[in-house]
Amino acid sequence: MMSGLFSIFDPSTGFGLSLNWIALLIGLCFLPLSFWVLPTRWMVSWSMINKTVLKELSSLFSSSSPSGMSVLVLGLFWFIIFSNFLGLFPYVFTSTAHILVTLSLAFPMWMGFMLFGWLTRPIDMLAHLVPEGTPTILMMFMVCIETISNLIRPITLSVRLAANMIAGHLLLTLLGSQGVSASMVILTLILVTQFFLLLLEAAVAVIQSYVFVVLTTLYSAEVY
Amino acid sequence: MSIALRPRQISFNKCDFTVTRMAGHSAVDEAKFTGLARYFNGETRRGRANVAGATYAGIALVAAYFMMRKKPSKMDAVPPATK
Repeated sequence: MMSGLFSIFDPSTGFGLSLNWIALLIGLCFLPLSFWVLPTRWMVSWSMINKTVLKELSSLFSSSSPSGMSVLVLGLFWFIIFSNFLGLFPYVFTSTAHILVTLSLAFPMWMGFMLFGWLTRPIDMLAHLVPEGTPTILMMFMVCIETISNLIRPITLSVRLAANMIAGHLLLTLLGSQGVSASMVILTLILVTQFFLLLLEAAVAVIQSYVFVVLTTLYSAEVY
Repeated sequence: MSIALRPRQISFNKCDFTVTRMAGHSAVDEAKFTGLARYFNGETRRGRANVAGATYAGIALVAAYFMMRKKPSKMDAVPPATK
């Protein structure tokens, strides 16, 4: 029973246990297995997508980025895309619709970048606060603006992903709830609209994971 | 098929990171800056870092001034004149 509009996001199952969070591991079921000499079609598709994402991000990595960054970034990309996309299926819990999950992804990474940057290269971190070519009058204001923009990065990263997921699911739920007491014509319109909304949500799921990963790469490139 | 990874650039044996400077700083001619602009400008790496540091120091000083300032208490208030 829906007690409120946002009750669809409530992480609860029976007996007081929040088993919904097992959905965080759902992406592991789709990882390609390389038991065979010849790669399977899924393995080939997986590698093609990885190469495409890495090709897009290679221009964003700085020259001194550690080689493990590409592995971290790919892992993040696949986790978010699986959580987003599989959450569109009925009865699958969307873990990335919760700030708890998205902040757990964004905050430790941001904190890691900040700690590494400020402890190993403080002069460069200070220099980043004033973009090159800033007019003299604006330099002090730019420092304040860049500081605030730095501090809100984990919040914007996490809220962007969670809000996009919540908005899509909410729209689908709202439309669906109107179909209960609707005429055949209205119901048909609702179904057609929901179909296109679902397509849009699938695109948003992929785009949001890509945006998250690109921004994380950009923030890391500033530090390394 | 294998994922193309970037060649290893940093040794993790002793957790020793090689710190390299960002591109763009060596292209600026530092000799053209004279006086105070040599240390505080928006072009060189050091100049930009000094501006940011000075801004933070200024904000810290202003905050410290307001925190240290003695708050006027009720005992210091002048009582109203009585007839």
